[in-house]
Amino acid sequence: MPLHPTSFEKLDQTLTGRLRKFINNLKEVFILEKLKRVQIAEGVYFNTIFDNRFKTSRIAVTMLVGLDKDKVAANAIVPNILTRSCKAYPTYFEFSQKLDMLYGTSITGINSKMGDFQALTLYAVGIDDKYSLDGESVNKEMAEIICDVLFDPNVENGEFKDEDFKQEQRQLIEAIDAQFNNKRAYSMKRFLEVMFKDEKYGINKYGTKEQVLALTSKDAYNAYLEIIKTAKVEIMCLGSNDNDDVCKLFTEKFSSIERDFAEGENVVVPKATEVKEQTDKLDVEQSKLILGFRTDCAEPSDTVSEMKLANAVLGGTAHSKLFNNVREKLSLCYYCNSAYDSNKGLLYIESGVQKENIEKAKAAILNEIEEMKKGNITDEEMSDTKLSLCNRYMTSVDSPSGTQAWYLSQMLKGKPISPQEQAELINAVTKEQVVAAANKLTLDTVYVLTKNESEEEN
Amino acid sequence: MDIKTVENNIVKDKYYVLDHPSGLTIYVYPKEGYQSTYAIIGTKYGSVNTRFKVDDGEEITVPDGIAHYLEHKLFESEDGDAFTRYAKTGANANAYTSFEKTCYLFSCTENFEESLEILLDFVQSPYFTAETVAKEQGIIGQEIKMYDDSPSWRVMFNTLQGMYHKHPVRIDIAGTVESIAEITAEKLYDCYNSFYNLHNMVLCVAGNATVEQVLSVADRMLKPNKKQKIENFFEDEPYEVAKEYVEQKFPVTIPLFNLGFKENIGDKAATSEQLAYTDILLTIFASTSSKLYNKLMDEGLINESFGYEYAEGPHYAAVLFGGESRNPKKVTEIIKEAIREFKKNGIDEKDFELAKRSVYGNAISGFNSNENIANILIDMHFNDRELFGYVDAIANAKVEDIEKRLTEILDPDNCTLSVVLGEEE
Repeated sequence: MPLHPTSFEKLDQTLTGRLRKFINNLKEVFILEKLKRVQIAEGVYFNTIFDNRFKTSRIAVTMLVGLDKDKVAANAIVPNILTRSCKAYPTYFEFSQKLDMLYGTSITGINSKMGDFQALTLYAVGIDDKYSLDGESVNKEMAEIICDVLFDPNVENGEFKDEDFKQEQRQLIEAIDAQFNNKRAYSMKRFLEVMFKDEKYGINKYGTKEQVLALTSKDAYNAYLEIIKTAKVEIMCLGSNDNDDVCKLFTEKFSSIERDFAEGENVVVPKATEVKEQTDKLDVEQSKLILGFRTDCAEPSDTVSEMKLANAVLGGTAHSKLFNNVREKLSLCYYCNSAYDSNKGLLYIESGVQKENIEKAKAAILNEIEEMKKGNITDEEMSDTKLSLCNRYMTSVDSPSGTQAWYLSQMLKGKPISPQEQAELINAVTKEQVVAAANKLTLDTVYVLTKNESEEEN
Repeated sequence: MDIKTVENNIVKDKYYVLDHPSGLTIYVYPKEGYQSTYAIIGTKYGSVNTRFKVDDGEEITVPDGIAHYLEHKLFESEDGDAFTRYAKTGANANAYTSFEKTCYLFSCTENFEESLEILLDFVQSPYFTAETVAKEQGIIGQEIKMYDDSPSWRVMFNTLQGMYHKHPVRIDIAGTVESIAEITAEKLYDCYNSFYNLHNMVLCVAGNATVEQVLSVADRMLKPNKKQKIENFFEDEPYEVAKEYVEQKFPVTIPLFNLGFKENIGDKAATSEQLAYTDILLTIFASTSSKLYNKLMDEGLINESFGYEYAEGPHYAAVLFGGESRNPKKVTEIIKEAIREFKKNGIDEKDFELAKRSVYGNAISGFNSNENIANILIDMHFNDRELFGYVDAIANAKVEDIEKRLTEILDPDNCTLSVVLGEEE
């Protein structure tokens, strides 16, 4: 039962005084304000974050295309092929030697899902110029290499060089097989497949093994051409350089590409209609239980901060309801935590439990949510969780990768805010709003991975 | 009190070392422009320290997994667990136990002094009763089971069990469900009083903090400890590996392997130079730009999960290679053959130069992270090394240094292959 609003205001003044002080201090010391953003082609943005605190500089190119089950496998292989060689350094061996020469600069290709998009990222990390032993500019060469990789791949007769393709095809198949090896990751993958079986988000980021086996080098090259033409592209440079030359370089390169860009769509299902239940059996010592909820709350809604806080109160910290009550007091699980994906409006609770405790753990978890829905959240829980979340936002930008990830996610949701602005939003959330957020949760999927009966008899 | 400043021109950073009158050594590494601070206190006491003696006392043997159990229990005091206390400062806290150390840490952006106070308070306030000890059995039992389900964890421990006959590094850090059943409050106090003496501990703070801030809390919170002598006992370990091959069936679709080459390290910890030379050597031998890596890739025997590391600690050291492979035995054959070739032909000047630059770049990158800096400081302290010594050793390395190191490690006739593979294979 929600409390009277006036009592919140009063509490806000007393209990969150610490937080106020925290937020006020941030405004004075926070230095990450030098973010420059320019559009350099249709759907292509160049972002520079000036930051001279780090020993390294980074250049990341993220290309977003709609998740499509017929294209996902061909798209998935592209970053891997691109980052293993290029025209200028035509073999993996030569390419690796060149990177070693540049003080171990790394060029990495990543394939991931962000909402209903497949995000294909190439990123380079190298030491800042002031640490090079011979005075050369690592940043400049790094920018040239990432452009070589992206725009001048190793192509023969209208397809990627066969040995590059074959090598990456084999590794992609092995990556699909390896998804099964780590049981926590595997249960998460299966859970998403079940919960989103009728939605694009349910598509495996690698596609299926059969799809990868059926690919040809020509398919992969065509996928590359389509990505570079149609994807939304976010280029992000981070470091002590102004990166004007790098911007010019990317602008020139993109000017030679005939862009055909349209904003993609991210579909969010607000409510669960029925509870889907799935139990998989494997020879595992510890069972996994995952509960998936629809939240009726996703980007770019203004209520996202409320759901973020609700999630953290429930299971997002080491003093959350799930941690204290389900793990510590009841000693039911080794881990029990919740996470919220604001792109999909998904909240899930993940736990590792003994087989005989699965039902008990599930009941205990659901009970914690019921308590929240009824308004059983202490003022302490509110202020402690706010402090913990704000601490997390601010800490994340003390690393180059965290800074880059923060701003990339901001660009994608369309309303970029800084970590301290996010902290302010969190600080402004009332208990009433958290209770309202909890009341929006509808249980969609119960996924269990547990021991085979026959194994137990052995 | 003596405050020493250590500066380095290559890294362009500095840190301070304090010998606090309480017995604790304190490192403070300020990071300009950072908002967060990472603090970690560690004791030179890990899962391998199961037989020991303090001063002229009797030799004590304790159950496997007790250091880790103690870590869990120390997090609790009479008035609630540390997580609950940190909740009031906003700090993000954790703890871990490794083979040779136990550490308690937090990171924060505000209320640093209050958080440090909590840290220093609970590590000095043991509270173990029969009841609280019994309560932890369930949670730790679950943790052990979770590791039993992890093929990458199993493949590593199977390697250690294959390499070592006697050394306790072969035993799981958390112990077993049976061994932790023997843990009592009294045994926890024995371990606590032996190893959680401030002379056996170190505090490292990196990020947005000053020496004055750290000292003001330390002066207030630290209770002086009497210096005591701790002797750890390890059985003699033969040079030869115990088993050349270990296999475990698991629900996996692609086999995992670890290949460990045991080194004759004696009772001395590796020096900064040895670490730097080993890293350069392994980069020449097995990094993505090595002939070995490219051969294994071209033959379809490894994938991007392939990696290598130098694992070392009290009385043990080994080079480990590992990853996923459809044919780990073939990988082993090729690696052994490559070692023989490498030792016969010596080191190519150009390969050396590339590897040196690459290792140097990685070392420099490591100084971005408060967490990384503070954790390496702890390791360095417990092994009598200096933090920047590693970077200097890389920058000043010569081919001859690497060649000499090559004669000391990677004996192709002294290795263990551990494989985790699917039921049907």
